[in-house]
Amino acid sequence: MAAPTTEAVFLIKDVKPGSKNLNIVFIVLEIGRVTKTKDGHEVRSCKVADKSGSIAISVWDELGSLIQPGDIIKLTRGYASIWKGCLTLYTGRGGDLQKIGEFCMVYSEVPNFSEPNPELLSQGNQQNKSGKSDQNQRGNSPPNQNSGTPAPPGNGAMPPFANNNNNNPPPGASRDPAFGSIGRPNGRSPGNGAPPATAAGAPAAAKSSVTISNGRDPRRAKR
Amino acid sequence: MEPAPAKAKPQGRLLVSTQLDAKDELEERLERCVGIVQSLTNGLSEREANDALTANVCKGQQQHEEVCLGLFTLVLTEPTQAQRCYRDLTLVNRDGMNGILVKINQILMEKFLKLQDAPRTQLVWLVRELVKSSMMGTDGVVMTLLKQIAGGDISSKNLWLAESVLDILLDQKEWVLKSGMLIAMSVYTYLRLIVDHGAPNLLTLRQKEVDFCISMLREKFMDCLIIGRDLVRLLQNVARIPEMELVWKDLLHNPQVLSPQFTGVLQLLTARTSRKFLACRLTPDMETKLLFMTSRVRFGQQKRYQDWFQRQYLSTAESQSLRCDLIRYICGVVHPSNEVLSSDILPRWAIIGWLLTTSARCPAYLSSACGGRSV
Repeated sequence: MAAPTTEAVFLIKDVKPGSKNLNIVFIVLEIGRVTKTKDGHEVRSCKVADKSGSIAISVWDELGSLIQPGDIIKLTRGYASIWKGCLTLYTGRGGDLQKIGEFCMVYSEVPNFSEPNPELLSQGNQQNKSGKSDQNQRGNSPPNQNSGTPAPPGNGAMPPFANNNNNNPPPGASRDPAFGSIGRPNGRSPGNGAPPATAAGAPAAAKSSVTISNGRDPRRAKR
Repeated sequence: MEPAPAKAKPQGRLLVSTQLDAKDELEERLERCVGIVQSLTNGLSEREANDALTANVCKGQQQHEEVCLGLFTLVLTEPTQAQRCYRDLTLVNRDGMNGILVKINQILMEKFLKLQDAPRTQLVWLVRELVKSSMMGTDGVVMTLLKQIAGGDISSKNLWLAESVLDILLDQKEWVLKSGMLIAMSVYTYLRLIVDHGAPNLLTLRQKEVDFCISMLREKFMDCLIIGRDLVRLLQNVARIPEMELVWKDLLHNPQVLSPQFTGVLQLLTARTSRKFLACRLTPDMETKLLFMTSRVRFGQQKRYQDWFQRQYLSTAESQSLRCDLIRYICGVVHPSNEVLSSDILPRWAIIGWLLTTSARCPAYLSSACGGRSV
């Protein structure tokens, strides 16, 4: 299939908690395990990416079972919120996921914008206390974009690849492996495509040094 | 609160699609043309319908195209009406079927993998009909059809395609003999496919393929020579088959038997093989993905693409023979510009390294990547 045509599409790096009406084109990198919600729906957390970075998206039921790694998908009218400290994309009412191609899209796996962020975890708790729909009461259903509060996708499992050794540091680490910023490899050796050992220094994720006052994702402040 | 209700998307008649797939523009266009044809002919007798269609195509190029594409699509999607629709198509067509041939090429190059079973069968049927009526440009379509036969693939769909196209070539031999390029391409294709068809249940098919290749080699050797030195490689890989062994004997010791103008194997070895042949053994999808890797993917970022490609095309024991074709393609067809070569785009040696080292599970095939493998 051909690569998607370029238009003024939103990039993953611009997604913030509470973002709505998101139209994003991304490529699917990994599909997580299926989990079942209390009301019998299936949810999968998928890692998707575009040239600006990667993010988790939660997909319900049949669509989730159809998505394959390598699929190029156009999300329309999606939204984003925090689920257990991780920024996550969702398809809302009136939204859609459409496969428009496969394989032929460049992406950057880093930064992973869905990395667990302790500040965001506490931010989520603050929102609960403020009287908006309680996270636990909404435990069974996908988040509604009107309330802005996340609901657990089933048993509350974190996106499985948050701790993936390939690309993401364990939570709390401050540096990402710099797959995207290697530049000219200087020690070329025949191989099966493993990246050169000389990884350049990565921009620090700066997670632990910013205090939140307005509910904005602190990582955004640095970029 | 419920998850967003799934938008019910009607399944098209041409392509396989799921709830996830975006609507296909080509399919939509073709189905619109069907609608036009049906609105023109609804409730009319055959004669009246034909008159209505003829009147419509005379109105202009657009109407001509719409009616022809509509009838063409009906041939693909309505097997019971195919004969009649094809006859109508030949009656109203005014451009020597050129528009239809272009559309067939497009479907073959872009949508073949996604065709539903009935349209795929009908498409091959239609190509056969076009060959029978000797439309100009049909040899090109047959060559594109040959390209859809995947190497290293013994699934029933692929075997069916290999046999169906072979049947066209056998059935329409007179027509085939008129096109030197088609002779060369089909010999190149089937000499290669013979290697995949060694299993006991495939020997009948293989014999058919051998018989076809032998007849081309012995009757039209100078056309087979168009292939160039890779013909030697192909013949080497099938040399243990008795009929092929006889060809080898003549090739080496009695070249004039094959053709008065053939001076010997050296003549063949000094003839370069065009990239066209190396490329014809990759399906369009394989080519698209490999070309993407060699032109857009940065060195260090290739792992996932490799995994996806491997999962799709290199995951069975039989598929290992495809590695040779892929490596040959990378070496002989992919020629990056200086700009790409001096960038950090995935270099060709890295792709070849991947193809070689991941075949370590099948050492027999590794040697065929470096040389020949006798069947």
